[in-house]
Amino acid sequence: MDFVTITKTLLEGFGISCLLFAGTLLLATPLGLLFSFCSMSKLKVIRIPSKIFIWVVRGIPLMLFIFLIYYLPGLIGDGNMVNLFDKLDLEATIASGSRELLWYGRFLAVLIAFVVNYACYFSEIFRGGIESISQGQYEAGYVLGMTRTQVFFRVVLKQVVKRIVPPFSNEIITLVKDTALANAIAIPEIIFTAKKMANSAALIWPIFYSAVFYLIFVGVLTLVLGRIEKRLSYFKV
Amino acid sequence: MAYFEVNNISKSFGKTEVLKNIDFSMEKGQVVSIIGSSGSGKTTLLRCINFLCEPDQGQFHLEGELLYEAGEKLSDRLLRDKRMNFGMVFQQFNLFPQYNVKENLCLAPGLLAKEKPDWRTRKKEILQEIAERADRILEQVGLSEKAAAYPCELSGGQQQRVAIARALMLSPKILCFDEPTSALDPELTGEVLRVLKELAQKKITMIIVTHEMNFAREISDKVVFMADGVIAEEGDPERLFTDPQSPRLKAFLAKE
Ligand SMILES: Nc1ncnc2c1ncn2[C@@H]1O[C@H](COP(=O)(O)OP(=O)(O)OP(=O)(O)O)[C@@H](O)[C@H]1O
Ligand SMILES: [Mg+2]
Repeated sequence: MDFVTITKTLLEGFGISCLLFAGTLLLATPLGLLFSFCSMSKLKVIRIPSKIFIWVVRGIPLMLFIFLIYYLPGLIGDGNMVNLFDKLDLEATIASGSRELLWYGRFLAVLIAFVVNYACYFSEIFRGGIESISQGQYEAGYVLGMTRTQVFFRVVLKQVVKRIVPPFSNEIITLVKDTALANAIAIPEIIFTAKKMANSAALIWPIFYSAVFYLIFVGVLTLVLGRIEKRLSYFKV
Repeated sequence: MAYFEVNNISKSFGKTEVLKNIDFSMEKGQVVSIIGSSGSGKTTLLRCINFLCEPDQGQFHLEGELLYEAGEKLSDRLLRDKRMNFGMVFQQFNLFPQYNVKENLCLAPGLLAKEKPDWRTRKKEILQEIAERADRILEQVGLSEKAAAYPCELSGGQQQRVAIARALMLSPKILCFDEPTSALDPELTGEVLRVLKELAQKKITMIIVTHEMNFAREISDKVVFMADGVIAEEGDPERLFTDPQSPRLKAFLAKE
């Protein structure tokens, strides 16, 4: 296998990594916002279960959480231990006539695990950001005749965004690298692909070469996030 | 009946009674200063007047009509309508940091204008009117050149003048100030007090909580002295400062 073929193969794997990254970011952000509102709720019946849930999810290693989501539906289903996600993959493979086992079902399991896990982390970042805005900002809005919604969207939100960009950046950079965990249930993301090559073609260097893809992606991400930070630097909170 | 009346207002936080049967009244165009030592309940009173804090008991009357009675449950909309009779300038300015000076002034009036029936047809003119009004008020507080500056680029005194201008944009019937100069360096208090004096000359009705005794004496039509949640003494500023009757006011003035 030559360098170009290996690069292409790894790139395919990295595409799946990126898909997981984008899906998680897109879904975990609104869900995290929802969780943060729940964990700040005045109602105990909402606040306490949310806090416990966030504690449990953040306390479990993500790898374990992936297994949990992957195996749980089979365990609590009709009891015959059929793995729901594998079943999806089998059916899809047969239906499509593909020679290789498809991975969309397993990807769904990983995506669910990632979204829930990251939503919990994001929610704590959002909560910290929202709570750091002084009561005076809300009150200044109210005495000027603004509604709660207007105060949140017109006054508070941008200040919260400015506050949370640095910790949020950190978290999504971690997310980029965490996507490698998907190889635990044989999703053909980049590490899995590299390992497969190592086994079949007795090549070890593609495993190390895969780091380059992460480095470039994180580099681009850092630049974009730095831009956003800079665009918000015209004011102080 | 007076223009604005505070009747028998009480407020407790847990077991601490912060306001105990507060009663006072003022006429249109008057300036009332509230003085008193720390913790006497001055801020709490202003917050109750601005509907930021719910009194346990009492009433407010404005222009001879009952505005609010404690215990009354108000819808968000009604609360806002009532609240907008008043304006509030805070000790910490509370400008919106992400907006420049002019945007700080125009934000709330712009949002309110959207609720008006003629918004759709007259949008441009309305925004133009708001912007012109902002320019006039900025000139009034001496900050025309700072219209495009952000709060973080201004001195404390300038920020407080912007906060005053922002409150003036909505022409409240009564403008309240909570220690408007307490967060400022001594050399910056003058510029803010000067603006307040000009407003007093324009017969803007104001309630000012302040620790600046000379200023209170000069500007006020009436001074209210609060101690431990009650009005211990009130009256004409000259009389109050030169001939205090209550022992508490005597002690307070001796300290100041
Ligand atoms: N939200 C609150 N919860 C509990 N106690 C409060 C609250 N707000 C005020 N208090 C208490 O009420 C009392 C009066 O407070 P307030 O801020 O009205 O005093 P003040 O006269 O404005 O004092 P200062 O001159 O220091 O500003 C204080 O003892 C304060 O601790
Ligand atoms: Mg106070």
